[in-house]
Amino acid sequence: MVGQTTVVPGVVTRINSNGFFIQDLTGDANPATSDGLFVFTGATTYPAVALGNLVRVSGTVAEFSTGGSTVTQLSNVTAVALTGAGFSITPTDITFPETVEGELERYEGMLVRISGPFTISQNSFQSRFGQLTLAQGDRLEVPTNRARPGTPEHTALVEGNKLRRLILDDGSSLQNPSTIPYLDANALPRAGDRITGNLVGVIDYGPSSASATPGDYRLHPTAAFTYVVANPRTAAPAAVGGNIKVASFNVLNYFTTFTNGQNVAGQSGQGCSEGASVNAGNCRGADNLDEFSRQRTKIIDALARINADAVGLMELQNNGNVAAQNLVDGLNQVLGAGTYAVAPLPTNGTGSDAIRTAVIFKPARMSALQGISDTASINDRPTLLQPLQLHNGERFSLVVNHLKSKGGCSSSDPDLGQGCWNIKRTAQANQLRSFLSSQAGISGAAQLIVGDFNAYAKEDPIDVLTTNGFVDLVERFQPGAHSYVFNGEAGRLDHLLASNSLAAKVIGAVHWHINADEQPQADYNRELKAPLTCNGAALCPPDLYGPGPYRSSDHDPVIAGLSLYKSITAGVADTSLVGTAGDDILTSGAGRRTITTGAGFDQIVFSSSFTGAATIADFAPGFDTISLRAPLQALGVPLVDPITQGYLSCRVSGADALISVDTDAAGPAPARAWLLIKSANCSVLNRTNFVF
Amino acid sequence: MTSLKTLSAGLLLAFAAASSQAASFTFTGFTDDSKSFFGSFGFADVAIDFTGEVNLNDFSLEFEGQTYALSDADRPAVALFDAGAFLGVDFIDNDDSTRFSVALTGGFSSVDEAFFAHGSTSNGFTNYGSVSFLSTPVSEPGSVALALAGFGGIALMARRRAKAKSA
Repeated sequence: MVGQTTVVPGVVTRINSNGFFIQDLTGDANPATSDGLFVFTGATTYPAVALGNLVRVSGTVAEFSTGGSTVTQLSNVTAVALTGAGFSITPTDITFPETVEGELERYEGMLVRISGPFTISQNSFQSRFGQLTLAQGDRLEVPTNRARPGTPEHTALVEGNKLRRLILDDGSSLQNPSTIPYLDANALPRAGDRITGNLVGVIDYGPSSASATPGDYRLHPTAAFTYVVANPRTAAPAAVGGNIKVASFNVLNYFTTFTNGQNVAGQSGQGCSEGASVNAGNCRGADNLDEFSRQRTKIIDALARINADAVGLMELQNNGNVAAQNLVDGLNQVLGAGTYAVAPLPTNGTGSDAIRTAVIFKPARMSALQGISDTASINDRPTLLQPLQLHNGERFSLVVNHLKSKGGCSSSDPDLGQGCWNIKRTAQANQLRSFLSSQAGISGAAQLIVGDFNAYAKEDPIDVLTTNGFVDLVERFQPGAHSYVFNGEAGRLDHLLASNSLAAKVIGAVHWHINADEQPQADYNRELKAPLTCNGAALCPPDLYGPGPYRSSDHDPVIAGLSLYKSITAGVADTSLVGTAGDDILTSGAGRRTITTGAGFDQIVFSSSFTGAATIADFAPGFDTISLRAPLQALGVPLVDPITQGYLSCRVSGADALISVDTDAAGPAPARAWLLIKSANCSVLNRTNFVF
Repeated sequence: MTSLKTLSAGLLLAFAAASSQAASFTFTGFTDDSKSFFGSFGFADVAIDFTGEVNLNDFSLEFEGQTYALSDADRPAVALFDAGAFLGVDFIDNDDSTRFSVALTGGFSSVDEAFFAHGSTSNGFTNYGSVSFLSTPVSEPGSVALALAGFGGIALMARRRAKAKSA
């Protein structure tokens, strides 16, 4: 057939930018062969081509190479004759997911109907190529985020992803069109949102990612569909518990020197340092002050909403603490002077890459001891170990990493299923282990490893850590969670790994999905966005930028809650119980004593042997809480709502509030005085101040 | 019951403040689940306007067939005063797993706030009770009369407070 000149009749089912699809009015009744065909017309238009028209196309049969495969089409069209109008082809219902990869070939060029629901797995190519990557059912997860490479589970995930994946295409070969197809208001959809109904359209084959290959089957829709927001934006990350919140965030090349040679201070002729060279070409972030302002607004908003006590940052310009301090200055403008500070530069420096890691922290909550970096030659960026001491005396080390990226393979370290440079990343992880064991003296064994590991959860670099005494905290609380989307699949490159002793004190860990699922067209960059022009005089796709935290970076931040209280328990003979200047858990049982919490967030916990006679000298609502759970439980008082139900009462005693317990509420037993809260009125007896 | 208790408190205060020798007193009461308890205690004299704690030098509590002595206390047992006003007694024995744990707890600013508790070492204090303090006739009659005259007002005040509370 190929190369033959022929005349093909068919009904026009779909018109694309460079041709149209026709389908045989009756079909050949053979399910193994397609009844449809693409007619390539290039820029030529034919008056007979309209949806529902029956036409006879004269042309040459050709195999068009695309996406590493070929598609049969009619090209070198010489005529399109109209033979009828008002026809409609009934879409063929097809089985999807495929049972065998490539099964959709038999439907190439045909109008089909595929039943949903579908989840949007990637929207990165929506603006550039007019494509959304869909998966039938739930979104696609990177197989190595879930299973060790080579295991049967991993193989099954790889195969399953291929069978479930479908590209939704706009039928246009134009890149960066003025209007982004399938885009709703507010830069929706996000990856993770859903299409609930059926999809109807013509099956085609072509590129499925940023690369020309591999390709995949795609659908050019002929009927409208709607999104359901299944992965909504959240205004702040989910609560993680504990008294210390620690975050890790790749801030996507936060450079205070720009690619145009200017810097944030307004100087010209500046450069960024990388290796031995200093020039503007080494700068990786904003192109100019305008882009930087947009970038800065978003990153600051994201960090302010995370509001962590300490943050490990990746991808800051490696210019001493200049970029980090610029970020902190902006944060403090939002959150108040002195809220954050940059940890001093570490012993051994920040390495010679263009980017560095850094730690920022809240001085009101902790102090930064002298940090140290590991400049071992295997590391692309030195590991930064930053010991932090809370005001209650508790310590931990925040260990910030940025391992070798997955891109740009060398023949010596190729992509064998875990991305390029897996051998190097694994060596870097092993170096991290040996560095940490050499540094255990600084903070004991309390080490929290964070960072962009450029390795998914079950890949070798993470495995050598989790099989050697470190706990993958996200795996513990949210297995399968992601921080990044690539090739249509979601996985986490950004991790929190705690040493065993510290892991026991971690209450929660979450990723905050503000970036990976968002439309890249909403980032700070100005390139390929209106008002620039993209196709001749046509405007580029719209600039979806907004000042909020969404698409502030390409990675999602990850956040952990640590319970690093100082525990102090009163002995029965003690007449006082005094907390530290930090966060304490102060436990008191039988015996008359005065409890002084000190500064910080303190929990006063009364044990079951408590029989009153406690005076709290400095209760601070909003900072301190009082747990009466154990003594109430011992007395048989229901813990549902003892205040409203009348089991606890308060009366003013001088300048103080006297809290009493009544074991039978309205019953005959009288209330007994339990604890005196100094310098308080009875509004103190409030659910927010008590734990039951 | 309230008036007896507050009057007793006045008496106790009088004895404590005015006696020229170590005072000794009794107490009695019922738990909320109707178990009875009683006992006695003694301590060295304190000043008439004393505020604070004075160690007991004698203590005995009978409860559920067991006797709890001063030597059983987990921490020094004390009598409590605020500007000469008796607030009650602190006594705790919570380290004997073979019998009930018991505690007497004095008030913060009034003997009305004093109470009794019992339970177990393992389960904590599971029941409370009300306690009444009474005197025993060990002091000189003349001193008693003096003291009564001087501190009747305290007892009255206590009554008023009790009344206001129930209103």
